[in-house]
Amino acid sequence: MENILEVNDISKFYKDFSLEHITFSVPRGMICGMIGENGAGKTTTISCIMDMLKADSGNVRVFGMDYEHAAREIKSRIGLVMDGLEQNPFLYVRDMEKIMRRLYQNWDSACFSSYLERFALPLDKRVKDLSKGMSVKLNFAIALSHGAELLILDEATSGLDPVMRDEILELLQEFVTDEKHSVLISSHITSDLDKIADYILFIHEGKISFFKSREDIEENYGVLHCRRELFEALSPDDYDAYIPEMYSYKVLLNNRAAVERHFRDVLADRATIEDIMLFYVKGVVR
Amino acid sequence: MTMGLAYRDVLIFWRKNSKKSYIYNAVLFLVLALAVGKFGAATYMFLMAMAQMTTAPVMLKEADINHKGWLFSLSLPCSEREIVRGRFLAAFLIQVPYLLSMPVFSVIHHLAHRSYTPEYYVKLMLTAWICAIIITAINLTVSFAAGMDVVAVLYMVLICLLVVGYLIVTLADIDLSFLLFINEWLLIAAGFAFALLVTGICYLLAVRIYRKQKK
Repeated sequence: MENILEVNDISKFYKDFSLEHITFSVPRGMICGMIGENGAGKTTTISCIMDMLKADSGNVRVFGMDYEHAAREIKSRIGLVMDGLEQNPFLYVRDMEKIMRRLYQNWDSACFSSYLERFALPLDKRVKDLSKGMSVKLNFAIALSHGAELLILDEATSGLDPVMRDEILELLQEFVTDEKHSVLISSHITSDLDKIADYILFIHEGKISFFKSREDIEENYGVLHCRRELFEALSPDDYDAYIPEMYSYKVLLNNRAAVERHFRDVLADRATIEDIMLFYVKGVVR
Repeated sequence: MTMGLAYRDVLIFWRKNSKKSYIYNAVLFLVLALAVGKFGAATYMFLMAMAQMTTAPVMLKEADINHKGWLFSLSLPCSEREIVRGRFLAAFLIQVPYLLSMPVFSVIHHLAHRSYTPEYYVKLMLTAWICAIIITAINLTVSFAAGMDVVAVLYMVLICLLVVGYLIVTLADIDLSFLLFINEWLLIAAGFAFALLVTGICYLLAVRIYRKQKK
């Protein structure tokens, strides 16, 4: 499968934070969810992918091209929705059409109008008078109206109510159905990623802790609550991390079926993305 | 692309200005044209119109900082050079309505007071425009390098220097006729050439600063 995005060993160093050796790729037609605590390096990674920030080392290839040679073409084929990166509050919704058609060569006015209609966005309102949800929808309408093949979302759905979030998730799934488009989505709302992500990338303290397909997670990962004896009987290869509790252990299994086969009376729960994140942050990682 | 960026900046500038500020400007325009007398002309050209013509860098910097306009520009499919060029173009396009108001003001002022010859009004207008170009170019460059406070303070300082200079020449009745040994039109042409040179240098500097900041 062709990769739409390839991030190769990028690092960025600051005085009090560093992003180190980030490597991953997103195939066409896939949704890649990016998780991590606040300050883990998600936005820095996205800024490097968007060439809004120069990485100190490593490189980014999007659509098989690099920014040094094809920055304009790459950016014109990416739709970006970032939390806090709203349109200027004094502008009207109707102004967006006039501005964006001058900024994007592939701007599709009819497509933009149809999104405005679908999202019920009023043309005669200023951006500052829109609700948070409407403002996010406006950003989505813009990101989806210039022929973007890769959609990058940075906490774009935070602050939205569940109904609106669900609407956005549906939109993302629609976006990738033709298997030519992809989405890279960073979100704190791990339940959203449980629903739509094909891959999960977990960044912790500036480094990748975990990059797996959802299929792999669903099939192999599990959470086991067990006593000390059982924990000690487990092979270290069976789990990624564990959290010692007062009288028991919580274990993140990486081969649930094998453990269940080996220990007949053991039944592990399926691991959610939130479980994995908590194990990697709070637990003892093997 | 440059036009798109400039269009966005110009639109933000006009949308941000309230109706009250337009009414206030219109009233001041009429007061200076009709009620102040002889000094009204220079006061309008050099203080009011010019002050308005040079506010763009401060206001656009404010939009960049408070509403992440800087980040938005970086996400667009355009080069650093185009982003800077768009900002320079916007700042000078914003000057156009104020520039056009000057001949209108001159006609009204001339009809009301008949203090100066039409030629004198033209010279006043052009000199004010030259000052506006230079101040705008300098302030724009600084706006790429420094924060909003610095840009706002620099704007105030430049305008204050002009006000002080104007007051000294007017109140102390300083004779500037020594400048007339050179042809006045030649002096204005030289002023324009200098303003263009300053703008060119400022633009190149701004591109450099912007690229450096991105890193």
